[in-house]
Amino acid sequence: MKQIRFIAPLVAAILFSGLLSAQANLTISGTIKDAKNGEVLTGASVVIKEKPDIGALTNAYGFYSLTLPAGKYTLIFRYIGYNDIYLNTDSITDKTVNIKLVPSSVELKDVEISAWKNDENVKNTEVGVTHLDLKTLAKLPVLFGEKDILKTIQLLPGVLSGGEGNSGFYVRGGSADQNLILLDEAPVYNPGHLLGFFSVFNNDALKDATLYKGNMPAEYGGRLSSVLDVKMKEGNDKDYVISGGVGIIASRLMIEGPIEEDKGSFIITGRRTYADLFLKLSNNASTRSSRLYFYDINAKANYRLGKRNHIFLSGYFGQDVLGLGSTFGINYGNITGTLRLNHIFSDKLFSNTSLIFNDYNYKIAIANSGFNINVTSIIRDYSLKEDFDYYLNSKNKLKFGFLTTVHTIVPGVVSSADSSIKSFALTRNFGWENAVYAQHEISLWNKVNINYGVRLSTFTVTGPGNFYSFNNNGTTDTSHLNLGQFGRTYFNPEPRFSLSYNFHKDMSFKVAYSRNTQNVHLLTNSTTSNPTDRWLLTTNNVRPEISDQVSAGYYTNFLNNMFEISVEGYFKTMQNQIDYKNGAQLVGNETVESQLLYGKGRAYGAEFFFKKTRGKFTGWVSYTLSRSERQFTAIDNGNWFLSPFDRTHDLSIVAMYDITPKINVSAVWVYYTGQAATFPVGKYVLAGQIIPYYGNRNADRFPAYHRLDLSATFTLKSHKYWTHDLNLSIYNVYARKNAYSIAFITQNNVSVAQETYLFTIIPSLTYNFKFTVPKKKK
Amino acid sequence: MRYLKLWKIRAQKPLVKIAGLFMAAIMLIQLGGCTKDINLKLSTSASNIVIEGNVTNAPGPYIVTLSLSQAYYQSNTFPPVSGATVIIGDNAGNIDTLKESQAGTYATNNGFTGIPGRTYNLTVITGGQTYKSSSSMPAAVTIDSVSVQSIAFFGNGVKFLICTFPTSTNLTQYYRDYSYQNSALSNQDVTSNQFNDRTTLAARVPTANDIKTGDTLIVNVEGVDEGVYNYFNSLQTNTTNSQTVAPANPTSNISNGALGYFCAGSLASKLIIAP
Repeated sequence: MKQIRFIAPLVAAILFSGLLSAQANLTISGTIKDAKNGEVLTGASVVIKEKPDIGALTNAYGFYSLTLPAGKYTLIFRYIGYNDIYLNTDSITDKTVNIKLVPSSVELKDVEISAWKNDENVKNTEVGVTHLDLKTLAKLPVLFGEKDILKTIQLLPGVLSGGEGNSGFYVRGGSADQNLILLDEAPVYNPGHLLGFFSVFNNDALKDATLYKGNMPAEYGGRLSSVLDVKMKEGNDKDYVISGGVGIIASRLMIEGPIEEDKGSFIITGRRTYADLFLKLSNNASTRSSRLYFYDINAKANYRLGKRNHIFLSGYFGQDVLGLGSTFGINYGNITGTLRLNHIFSDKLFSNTSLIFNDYNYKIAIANSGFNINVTSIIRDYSLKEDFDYYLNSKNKLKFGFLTTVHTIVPGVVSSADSSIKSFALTRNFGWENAVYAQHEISLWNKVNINYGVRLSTFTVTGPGNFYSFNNNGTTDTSHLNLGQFGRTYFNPEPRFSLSYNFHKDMSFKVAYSRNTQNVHLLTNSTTSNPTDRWLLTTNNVRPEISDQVSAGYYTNFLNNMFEISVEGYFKTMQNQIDYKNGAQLVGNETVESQLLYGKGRAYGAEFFFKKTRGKFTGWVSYTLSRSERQFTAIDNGNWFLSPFDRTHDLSIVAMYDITPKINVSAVWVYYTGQAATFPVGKYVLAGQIIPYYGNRNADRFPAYHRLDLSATFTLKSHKYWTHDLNLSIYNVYARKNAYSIAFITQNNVSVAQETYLFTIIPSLTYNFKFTVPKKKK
Repeated sequence: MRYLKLWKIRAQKPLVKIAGLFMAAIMLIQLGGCTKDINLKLSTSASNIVIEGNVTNAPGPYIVTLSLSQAYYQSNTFPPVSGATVIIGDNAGNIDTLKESQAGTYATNNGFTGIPGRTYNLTVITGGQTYKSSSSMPAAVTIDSVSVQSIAFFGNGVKFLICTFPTSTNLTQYYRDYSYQNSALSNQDVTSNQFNDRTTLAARVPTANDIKTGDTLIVNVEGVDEGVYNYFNSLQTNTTNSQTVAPANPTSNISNGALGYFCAGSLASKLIIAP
């Protein structure tokens, strides 16, 4: 398991001997990379052979810094799946040591991994954090042949599925918009393609991903429930490589290579679905002319400028094109861009500066005779982010920095060529969000690690714009801010704290507390993601959402770290949660805030995780017992009710087995309690129409959801420059008809509950290949 | 705002259809068929009184019906509430105690006709409980034109009724519209001129069934007050959206937890034969 930003505890002898002050120190720093493709390795470790408890880990940019009392040592550089490199400090002339680790061959893998003391999960201070292993992901069954990181995280404890086949997810009882999803530091507002059946993340382009379930370090902020930090690959800086895959409904292609060997590289990946090709088989003309596809492009380039600077430019562009004949069309997509500079000030001080742009927009076009309308909406942020890592010594590490973001929301511009329809634009919303943070990681007595910090966040309501005051009868006052004028500012200190206590070599107990705030809010009255859901900034009426979460956990590894067990509990409160008045008009409403209700939430649960990390048979069992509730004065007389993100039980079993080195099979079984919903408790007649009479909010539940998926991956005969494999996946093997929605229908004097289900059994086949362009002989 | 509502309705339904299309494309099967009736256990509330009362400026008598709600899985027989005291009064001091013409159906007695501009009050006393409501009848409405239009929607020509009528450009006004198609009553729909900057408003009027050439269509448009508008607007939101949305009961303008509504509407009607 990969670990980041962690310094192994210093040996107790040093702590107590006072040698620190008496003796000169030696600081070694550098970057650790993959020798084959030049990708920097995050969470690779440097350990001292003579002092096995001293060490350092590389940060997200592959940088490490290690300070030791002067002396002769043997340094060991290691990373999962790579051969160790031993280096004697006598042989070091330069204190900058850049290392290239060679991936170990398959045969050696087991030996290597067991040599690696993979116990960071026990020792570090991380509570509710998962570093996703993207290689494992490649073996899991997939829907429609597309590997999807957002569906894989739904198999982890505390993460709930957003619905059948959906990439949306809920973390610890929070809503989907309370997840901060970062792609190379840029927030992605709508992570779903094709109404959520696919995520925007093309797995080929990804390097690593980390999920923080609420207890994030101070460097992250802006959402209540979680941070999913996804990093794109840098690209191979040795060889030109072309790889890709062909599936039943989508194909992918990736090209990477050096800009200049060892100095810089680029990577471009593209993906397009062609589900709409099947529509051409229809005998209905409108179906044939319908559009139904998405494409996305990830691109990244990096270049080292001298020894101290490393510049990165990365971008994402994705677009969905959906349309029914010529009568209805919706296009939507995300664009993100990040320009980043790593600068090494000294062997102890590392900095990263990022300029970030992100944009989500949709366009709806409706054209009927006598009715023609276009609607456009945009949410766009510009950010500047600065992070410093200061490696004080091997026991103390500081991180500090700031983030400033300008938010712009264009809620809707309605235009029409039709003279009978009034064109208009809803007022744009602007906001300015700032945060500064500092955190200190310290290790004490070789048994206790503490990470504490604070994030000071502000949100300023910014002009130009109209701001309204409301009472029960409607709008009471309108005030206007001009460009450059500021309205109300909200200031929120967000303390963060986590502590681990290693009371035994392989066991630890951890506690954590954190406060998070959120200033962008998604208005949706549906649990399934809809590309046209409206985003709203904090205003004079809408307060920043605030959450406080306390977590505690017990972690143990056994049989030389072959097995991991963790048990975590959490309790979270949420303030300033948003719901709507009955019959709220959210679409095209200038004073949409008048339709909102404000309340609070609470969520608590216990998460159990058991994992076998190596051997022919690997996998995990994850079980969550939880509850998530909301309270609004105007709903159900102010009683607590279940949130739509409540599932009592959530169980995932993941098993992978290497039959031979070339054939791998895997299985996933999921079970969860049906979502809380409001069902009729009666019916009545009004003007001849039968109307359901609804009971209390979310007092009922959908039927339980369960599903088995199977997958087999065959590695085909490889050639010198050419490797390829074939993946067969079967989704929902026993064809369970899980309810996607339930309608209450009365026809011919009979009232029924009718479920809509999306998928029964779906097989898919994907062929993946990788071609390394042979080098010209010099 | 009419067209925004159309946009909402039309944007929701095609999205569902796109999801269906997508699945059809994947599975190489025809559209639809992915539904089944399920055996879902539902709890049942105590029977609740349902009150439906209408007063218009067209000659009476006006009817108030009282019935009880039923368990959801029961057949559609809704017990009438007999023996209640039902009174309609107005702000000019007139009072009429309604007469039960058949079980649960109460009709006005003294032959009054509703007058636009007046506020009407309903009082229902039954089973020891009193339910009250009041509704103002706005200025009279006139219909400019009624037409049947058709659009190509997903390969099929769909016909619908469009009714245009004059409206104010500076006052917010609310309307309820419904139709009789060969005497079959449609659902009730509501609209407002809130986002309309013209002197006429076009409303799409619901019909009970698909319109066929030769159908006799009677279009009714009533000016109503905000309470009635909110009732039908929330009723419609709760019945037309999919069940993934948290549904709720419409906000009634009747007190004491009664279901239903009391509406004083200034009525205009027009008849056409579908071309």
